[in-house]
Amino acid sequence: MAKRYLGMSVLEAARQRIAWTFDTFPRIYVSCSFGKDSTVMLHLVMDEAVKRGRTVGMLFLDLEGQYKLTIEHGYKLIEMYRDHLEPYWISLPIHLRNAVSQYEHHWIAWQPDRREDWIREPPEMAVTDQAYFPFYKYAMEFEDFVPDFGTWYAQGQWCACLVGIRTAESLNRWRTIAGHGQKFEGRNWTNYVQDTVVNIYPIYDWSTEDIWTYHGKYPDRPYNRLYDYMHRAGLSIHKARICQPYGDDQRQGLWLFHIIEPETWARIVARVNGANQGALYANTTGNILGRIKIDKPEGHTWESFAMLLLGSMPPKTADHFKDKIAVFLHWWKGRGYPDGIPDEAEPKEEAAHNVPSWRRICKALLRHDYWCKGLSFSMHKSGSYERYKRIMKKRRSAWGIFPS
Amino acid sequence: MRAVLRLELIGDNYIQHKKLVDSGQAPQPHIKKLIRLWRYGRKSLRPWVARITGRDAHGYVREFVHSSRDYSEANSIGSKGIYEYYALKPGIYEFNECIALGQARRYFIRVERAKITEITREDVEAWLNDTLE
Repeated sequence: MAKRYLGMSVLEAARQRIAWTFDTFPRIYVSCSFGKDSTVMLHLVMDEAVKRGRTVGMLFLDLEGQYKLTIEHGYKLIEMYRDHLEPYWISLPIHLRNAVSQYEHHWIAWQPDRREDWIREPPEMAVTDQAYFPFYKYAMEFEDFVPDFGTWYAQGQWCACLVGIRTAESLNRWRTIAGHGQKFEGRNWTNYVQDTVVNIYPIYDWSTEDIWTYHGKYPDRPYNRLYDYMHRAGLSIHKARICQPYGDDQRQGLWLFHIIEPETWARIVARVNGANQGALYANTTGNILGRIKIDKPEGHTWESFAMLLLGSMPPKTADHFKDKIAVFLHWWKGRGYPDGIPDEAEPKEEAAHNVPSWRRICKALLRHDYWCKGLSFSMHKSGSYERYKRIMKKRRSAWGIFPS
Repeated sequence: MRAVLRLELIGDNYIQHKKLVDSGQAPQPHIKKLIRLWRYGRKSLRPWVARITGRDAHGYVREFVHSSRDYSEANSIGSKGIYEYYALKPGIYEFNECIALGQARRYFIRVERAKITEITREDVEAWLNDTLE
């Protein structure tokens, strides 16, 4: 669908969206990462909050392995808007994906029994008490914490969670905003979350250039100086992004850490299994991390290579992948492949997830694609994994695929 | 500011199933189940909220309000725990609330400063008389 211009600048449109949010919602909070997008959004929201004399909440999920510069920038913003900002700096144990290790496919930020290994200490203002939020469960998933925080903060009233993501960032971001979610009062830049919480995307139509144009026009508004270092490291403004660095997509930015903050990097390597390997190979094409084109060893089929890979993994990880592969094989068995899936198929069809093949399975294994998104699976809800494992044990026996 | 109104869709599984049976997308069930569908799957049991804006020959002029549907507390068959959330601007509303399986009630509310108060039909009439004058 072609873009339809509104006859106004993106800055004016964002201000109008924020003003509507203040008119409509009794409770408002900003979900912040202190990156470039959420910083600009915070400035715009705080302009409106100050004008109206209202206080807004701010959620920052501190994932321990943060750049120092980001933390300092966060302090600066909180100090700057302290009269109208109610910050929730969360340093609670959160379960996070680690896509750079087969031995530790997840890690827990702020894990209490590994305090001596923590990359840094949480700030004084941080919420560290696990009993602070009634909904909090030890080591809950990031994806579960965020909506539950919204419901808690809403206190039964309509609550807007302002999120600084943009459609131009990636296809996934575009899908999040423009997808089939429930829209609030017909506004396409909103998404109903749960209970009385609605996500609002006031800068959804901004480009990266717009973000930096804002800072150019308003030099008094601080931005995260980490971007200056990223620029010096050779990144374009489009590639410079801040996120949890060990995720499936984010690991490609790991190499930056040791260039920009070597002192933090040393602690990260000690804290998160596989971080150094990720930094060395996350951008390498080939078999090391299954990026782009993969090859099988001589004398092997893709199927036997998959078995070899499974055999080389820690038993727990291999068993997890066997569950996924069993479902994948069983699903395709009933959809045109009664005698098993082919070893390989047309690469384009494989990439589009239209046909199954053992090569696709090998790629998922090499990539450490823990949730097997490459095989069209999605993530589990936290708390349901143990149940899933029990069910899969029975199913694998019944199907005769990797029976235990 | 909008006020929150939360209504539960009790027996939504029956409503959805009946819709499919009526449109021919699902086969006609056995007589016992058909009776249950007829009893609990009626459209009149669905919650709705309408803003009253005036009078016409049929009664009140109404604008139906869209809701946001939350399945996060739903049970596995969808008979309980599905909620519809309505964002209500100041005004007078009529709504239909499902109070138990197969039972609904309609009543009136006034929304002022994001607060909801139940009112009677007489209050609605009086408000309309004042507003339409």
